[in-house]
Amino acid sequence: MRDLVSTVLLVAGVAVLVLSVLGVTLMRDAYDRLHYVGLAGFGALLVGVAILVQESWSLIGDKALAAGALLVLAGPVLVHTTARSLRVHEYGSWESGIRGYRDRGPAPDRNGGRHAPGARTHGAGPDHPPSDDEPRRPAR
Amino acid sequence: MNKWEIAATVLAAGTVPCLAVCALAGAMHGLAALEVAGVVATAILMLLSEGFHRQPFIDLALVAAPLSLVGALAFARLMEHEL
Repeated sequence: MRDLVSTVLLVAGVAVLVLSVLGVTLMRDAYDRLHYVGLAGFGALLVGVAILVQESWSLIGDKALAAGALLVLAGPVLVHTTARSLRVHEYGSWESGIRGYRDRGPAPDRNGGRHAPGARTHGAGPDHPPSDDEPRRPAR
Repeated sequence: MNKWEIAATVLAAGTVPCLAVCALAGAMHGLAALEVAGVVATAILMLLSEGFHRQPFIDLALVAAPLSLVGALAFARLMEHEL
């Protein structure tokens, strides 16, 4: 029974890892490739759990589980840091947009007035036209 | 070959596409492939340790996991400004 469970976990872990490798290889955009970085950690965790089931709580089982858990926890950190680097690489520092908003203030609305302080605006984009000192998104 | 060694062989073949992306695609594309390759390499070390029944080998996997994380973070920070 223990052998069967470890085999199932091993096959699942290898399948998840192979899927993440295929995703990283076949996706065209760098942001799309990043989705599979976090997935790979779960494949390593399944492999670690398979070793733990096979060996029980021994030296190798404990350390395999620790390595798998570490990779799962590191996945979101890696994805966030890499996506942030991609964003800075393409658009420039995100702090420049906040600084420009502080300097210029919110853009006037269609009636010529200004937004009330703290008023929510719809949409995720900036509410002021981009100036020359702001980096523009290059075409992919 | 037992099942652990077969799984390690499959994953070793899976690192080849990641290395191809690292070599042929852009730097940021290669960074994502490098991160996945680090995870796969750690899993290979774990599988080889179990497959060969050598318990000290699991320490390699346990060291490779945080080192791949730190290496990827360093690459990400340096590639922000194309260093």
